[in-house]
This record gives sequence, C-alpha cells and structure tokens, in this order.
Amino acid sequence: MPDKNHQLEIRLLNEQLAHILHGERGETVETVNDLDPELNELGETVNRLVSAYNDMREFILSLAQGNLEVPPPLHNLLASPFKQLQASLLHLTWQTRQIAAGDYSQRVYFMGDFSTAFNSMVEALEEKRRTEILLREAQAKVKHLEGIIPICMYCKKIRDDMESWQQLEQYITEHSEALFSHGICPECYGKVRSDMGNKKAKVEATKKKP
Amino acid sequence: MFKSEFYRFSWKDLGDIEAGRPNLGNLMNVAVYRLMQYTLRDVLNRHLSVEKATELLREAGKLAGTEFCANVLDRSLPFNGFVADLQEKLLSLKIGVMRVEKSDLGKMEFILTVDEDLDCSGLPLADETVCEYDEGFIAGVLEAYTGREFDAREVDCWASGERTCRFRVTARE
Repeated sequence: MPDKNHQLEIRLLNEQLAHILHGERGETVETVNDLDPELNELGETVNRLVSAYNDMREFILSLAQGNLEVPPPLHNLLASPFKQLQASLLHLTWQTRQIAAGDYSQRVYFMGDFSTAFNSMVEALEEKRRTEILLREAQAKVKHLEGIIPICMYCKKIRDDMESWQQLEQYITEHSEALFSHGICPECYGKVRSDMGNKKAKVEATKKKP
Repeated sequence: MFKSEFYRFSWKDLGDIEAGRPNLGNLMNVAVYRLMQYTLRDVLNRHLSVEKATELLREAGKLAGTEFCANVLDRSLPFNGFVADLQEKLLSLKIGVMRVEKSDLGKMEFILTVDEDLDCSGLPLADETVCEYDEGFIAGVLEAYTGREFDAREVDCWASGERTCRFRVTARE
C-alpha cells in the first residue's frame, strides 16, 4: 500500500506533466523516497523533461515574438528543430540584408518552396538592376537637343554657344548622336535638273555664236 | 615522396582520379570518409592526447581550407561573391550546406552554420562538439582569401544535439 508521501509525489509529478500538456511552465519536484527507488527515477526523468521543456518554451516564445537573437538552450534535444528553424531565420535575415545592400549573388538552398520563391525574387531583382544599368548607360550616350535654337531664316545656319554660325548638319552632328547621309528630294531634283538644263542651253547658245 | 619528413602537401598530390579510377569514379560513401576520420582520431587520441589530437585535426583542416581556397575558389571575387562561390562549391562537392547568419566585414566577424555536414550530421549524440577539422577548414579558407589569420570555433554541433553546426569566426588582432 503506497504511503501518503508516495501518493503526493506521484500527484505532483502528474501535475507537472499536465502543465506541459497545457503549454505552461512546469516545476521540478523533489522526489526522495527511500522506499521506492523507481519513483525517484521517474521523478528525475520528469524533472529533466520539465527543465528541458521550460527552456525550450522560453526559447520558442522569444523566437515567435521575432527575437531571433535569443540564445538557444544548449544540449536540449527537445529544442533541436527550433534551433534549426532559428538558424534558417537568421540566415534569411542576413540574406535580406545582403539584398538590401545590393548583393544579389547569394542563394537560398533546401528550404522547400521558399528557396524557389526567394531565389526567383533575387534573380528578378538582379535582372531589374541589370536593365536599369543598361538604360542608364544608354541615356548617358544619348545627347539631347533642347530649348530654343537660333537659326538663320534664309541659309538655315545655326548659331552656337560661341556665337559662331554653323551649317545645320554640322551643328546637329556635334550636339547629338545623329549622322547625316546626303541625298536629294524629288522637288530639289526637278529644280536642279531644270537649272542644269538651262545652264547647258546657255552654254550651247554661246558656242553657236560666231 | 609522401614518406619523407620534408613532404609538404600539394594539390596535385590528390592525383588524377579520373585516370586512376576509370570504373569506380570520383564518388564514395560518406561513411568511408568518416571511417578514416574517426579511426584516425581514435589512434591520435590514444597515442598522443585528446588535446593534441584535436589540435592536429584542426591544423590539418586549416591546411585543407587554405589549399581548397587556392585551388577551387575564385579569390578575385569581392567578399559577397566569394561567400556565394564558397557556398556553391561546398554544396556541389557535397561537403555541406553552408549558410551565413551574420557578417561584420568591418570587424571581420562571422557566424556560419553548416547543415548536413560531412563530418558530423547524423552522429550519435555525445554532448560535445566534434568538428575541429571544419573549424580549421573555415579558418584556412578565410585566411587564404583575406591574408589575415582567423579563428573558427564550433559553438553548436549535431553531435551535441543542435542539429546544425554553428561556427563563430573571428579575425585575429
């Protein structure tokens, strides 16, 4: 027949297990029963469980509140998966800081769908940055002609900043990336042809004079 | 050559594995690697001391890290690119999954973790850290890259029940 102390100790141990099942902190129970070494052994095991659970609980609660720097309980196997989770979260925090600082060379491995999503995001950001750089370089190359350009209404020469008059082609070539290829439009072609015909007729008429 | 007191390791001593193992190839079981490492540790512990054995393993790891950096990694990369290269090489050679938790380039202090570590992941729990070879390896890699001396210490290990190996790495003053 168990004595009163025996019953009390079992009840206390049971209460601690009930606390743990309810997600609450447990308390260690002193079990020193000269008559029942097995009860003492059970008491020690429950106490170890209570201590490990309490440490793990504090750790995971801090982690859940976003305190990633919380030191993990050492040599606590109950907390092992949470320690692995903490390592992953710390790594992701570092990764995010790297991206914020413009480092797109890092990749996340073996974190399931998260790895795929995260790496796709980094690659997209890297591509965006590459495009922005190309765009900036292209913009730097292009020279803009802006504002009011003073032009002669008769000969179409342009006055530059040095108060010197330049041919239209020369001015535009110097102030933009455009180049000129010279041709002749149909209207001018007709005019030039007509002028040349007139000149030729004059020359022939001069030749016929005695 | 190998048995000379003047022998010093060189990367070419790893040999032409493709030519030497045309049928068996370049891969082997992780247990075989561990068999060599832990039997070596056994003998070193018994013939020297645990402290000396630990020191020698760390020193060998450092030599390996230095050579690995010089022969496998791209030292011309800026630091962030170098870390990415190291991470990728450790992964492709199946040494482990290295992740950075913290880096302070000003102070040259880092916290790294290695998951699925070649040396220890899956070992029986022993309430102690065992990755001294890795400690030396990490310090050696960083020394070869920066030209500064580093100390790497394992603060969490699979063998101590932490599931991931965590290393605190600091440059010496």
